[in-house]
Amino acid sequence: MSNVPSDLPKDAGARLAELEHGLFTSDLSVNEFLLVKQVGFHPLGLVMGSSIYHIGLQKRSWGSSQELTTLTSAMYNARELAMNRMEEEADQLGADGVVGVRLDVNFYEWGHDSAEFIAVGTAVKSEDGQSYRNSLGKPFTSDLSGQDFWTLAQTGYMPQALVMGTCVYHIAHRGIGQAIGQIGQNGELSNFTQAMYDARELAMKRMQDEANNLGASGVVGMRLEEKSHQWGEHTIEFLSIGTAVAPRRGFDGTPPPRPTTIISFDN
Amino acid sequence: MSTPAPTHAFDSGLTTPDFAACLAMGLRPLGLVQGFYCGQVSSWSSYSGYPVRQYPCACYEQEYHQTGWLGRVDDLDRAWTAAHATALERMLAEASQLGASGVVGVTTEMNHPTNENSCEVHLYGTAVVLDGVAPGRRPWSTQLAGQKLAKLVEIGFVPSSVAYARCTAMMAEGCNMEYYASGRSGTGNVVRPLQEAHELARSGAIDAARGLSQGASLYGVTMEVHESERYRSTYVTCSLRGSLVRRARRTVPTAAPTATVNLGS
Amino acid sequence: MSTPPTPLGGVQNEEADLRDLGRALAEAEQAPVLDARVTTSDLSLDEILLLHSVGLEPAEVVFGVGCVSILTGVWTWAVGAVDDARVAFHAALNLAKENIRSQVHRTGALGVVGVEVEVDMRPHACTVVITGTAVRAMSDEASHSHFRVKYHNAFLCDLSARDFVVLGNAGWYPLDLVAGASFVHAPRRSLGTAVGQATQNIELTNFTETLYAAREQAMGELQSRISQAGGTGLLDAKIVDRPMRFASHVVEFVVYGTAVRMLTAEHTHPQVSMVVPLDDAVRTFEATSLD
Repeated sequence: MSNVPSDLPKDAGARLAELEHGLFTSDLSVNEFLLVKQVGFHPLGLVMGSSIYHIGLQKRSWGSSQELTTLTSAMYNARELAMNRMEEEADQLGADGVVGVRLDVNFYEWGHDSAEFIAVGTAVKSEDGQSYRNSLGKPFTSDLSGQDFWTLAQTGYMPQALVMGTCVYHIAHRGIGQAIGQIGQNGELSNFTQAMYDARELAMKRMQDEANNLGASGVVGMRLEEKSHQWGEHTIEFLSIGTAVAPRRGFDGTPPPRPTTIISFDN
Repeated sequence: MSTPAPTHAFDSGLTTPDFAACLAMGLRPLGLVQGFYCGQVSSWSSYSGYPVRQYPCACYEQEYHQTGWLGRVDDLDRAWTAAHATALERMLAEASQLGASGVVGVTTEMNHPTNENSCEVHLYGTAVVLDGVAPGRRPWSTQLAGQKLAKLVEIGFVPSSVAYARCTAMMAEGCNMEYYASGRSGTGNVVRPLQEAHELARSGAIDAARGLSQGASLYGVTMEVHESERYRSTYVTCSLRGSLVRRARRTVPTAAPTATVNLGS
Repeated sequence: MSTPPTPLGGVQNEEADLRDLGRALAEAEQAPVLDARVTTSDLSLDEILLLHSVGLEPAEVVFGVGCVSILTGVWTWAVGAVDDARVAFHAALNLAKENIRSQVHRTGALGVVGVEVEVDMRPHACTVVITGTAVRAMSDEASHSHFRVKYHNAFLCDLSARDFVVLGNAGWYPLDLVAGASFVHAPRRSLGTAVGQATQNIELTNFTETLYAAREQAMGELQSRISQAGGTGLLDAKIVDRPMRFASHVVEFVVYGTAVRMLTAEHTHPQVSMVVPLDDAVRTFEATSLD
């Protein structure tokens, strides 16, 4: 194995050793399992990474729209830690990749200003002995379902990595004079528009940069999540997340089969 | 056989695909029929429970300690099953008047219209007649309609009647020495009556449903379990709904299905 | 029976099929009840048809209940993992499994599909209820297909009847319902540490490690139970990961699923084809698709 996992808590070791002997655990549904097998991969085990992170404070000024860089880096670093640990578990299993990755954030009552970031997925290994690791030599990661993974494989692409970009943004409150002046009118709140625009652009740009660094040819299944978590209405996290893909090595260029059109009689 | 055309205006609760499938099967819709029952059920304070089993305390001072017990509370069960049976009879009477062979797509609604002491059962469905066949003495009824009804017949069954059964069990905690024990079951008088109350409610409801069936099978069962606590007693109610069906012909197994991946979202 | 039943299938012969079935329904009005074993089932009709394709039919709705006591006070006094709760959970699950298996045994069924698991953790007791439909070999002598696998011990699976059939066609069979669990107290931070960290972005490593340890233990436990059941894998793991309802400083982690094993020489790949449905919002169960 090329890189030995560095900061994986010691308890993970014994369990993973067991998985190397042919036993597998997976939260893939039966359908997903069959489709992942169809693409030529066998599940190795459920892998997870977690990080409980204390999110620092940052002063927000009431009247100005700005990125809250401390919060942005907290949200990014914590996810990165969770993702890395998941990848390390997969790496330790000798996996080619991780499918069906879910990223969750849990806030607990007892954890003031802190949150748990979790990444869970199923590590898989190719059955043809070829390596499907990404350009960084790490197992690929993807939040695609088994069905999407199969469909993607039909098109000749393979997932490279789950890429993400985040931006925590504070959106300025309107001044009182301004709010009064706009009472009863329909009109664009251009400072709100501008703030939301900037924040989304930043999140998406960061995601694209990650994909470029991997040498990926594109991102599929990209989605933009907006959450205020526990910060109140005017502070929003914009999280842009998707699966970076690249053409499969040795793909012969066969076009995907034509889908059949059906109307089902069940209602 | 040509597709039967409705001979007069009808109303029906069927969806369009179900309507089409019923017509294709030779089932002509006659009209929407319903049965309704609204009544009073006895309040919790006057329950007619009876003990099934007692659990004497297992600790050393047993004579001073409370005994746990398991019981049946069947007044509510009787009230609800009677309400359902009455509403069903009323719906079937309406169907008979229309000259129906059966009622398809039966929906059951059960509520407390005012408070816990009242009950309301509303059954409604679409009365249908089988073309070219004289209707039987008592119309059959089923929750299924259209394609699903066709599948039932394909499996080798014909509908008999919609069914409802329920059973309430209660347990009273005895001496709670078990709170100071861990990982134990079946020795004391707290967890054992609780476990057996859960078992009694479920098996009672399944047995009651079987009692209705007279040799028929109960398909499409939905089982609901409700647990509530009053004072130091726990009440567990299990209710079952489903369609009674009887086997009418032998079944030939279906061919193995083919797998597809749906590209719709 | 005059008309041979035709399997429901392609769009072209849909109408012909339905007419046959309507005729069967009409004839059955007068027909005597065939001598057949009585059945109770919570499966959908599609699932029953699928079971028929492998020579099985539903037998009975069966259930098992297990209720086990938990020592008073463990939720507030314990430090780290609440081991009493874990032990009680497994004892209750085992009891429920024993009870459901004895019902399966009485009905002469092979095992249970579509098992639903309900876990109710209370301060002084843990209740586990499992409910499902027992399946048995088809009673019809006319049936051509016979279920190929002989089970010594009734199987339990929380996969649907549909998943059971699809998986079986690929060569994999369920064996047992297995679980792993951990209930763990979040460590406490001293006031000094908390104040010191108030403005920083920092990983709370002792928190991370505590929860990690608890989860890894539960997953390890799950794996050893898969092996004990004779399985080589676990599919469709269900993960419950949340603070306890009555003790928010305790994190509950329960993972369960069906241990499976490949019983054929090799994995049989199903023939998969792509379809584009033209229905608006197809929400119902589709017996034949892999979605």
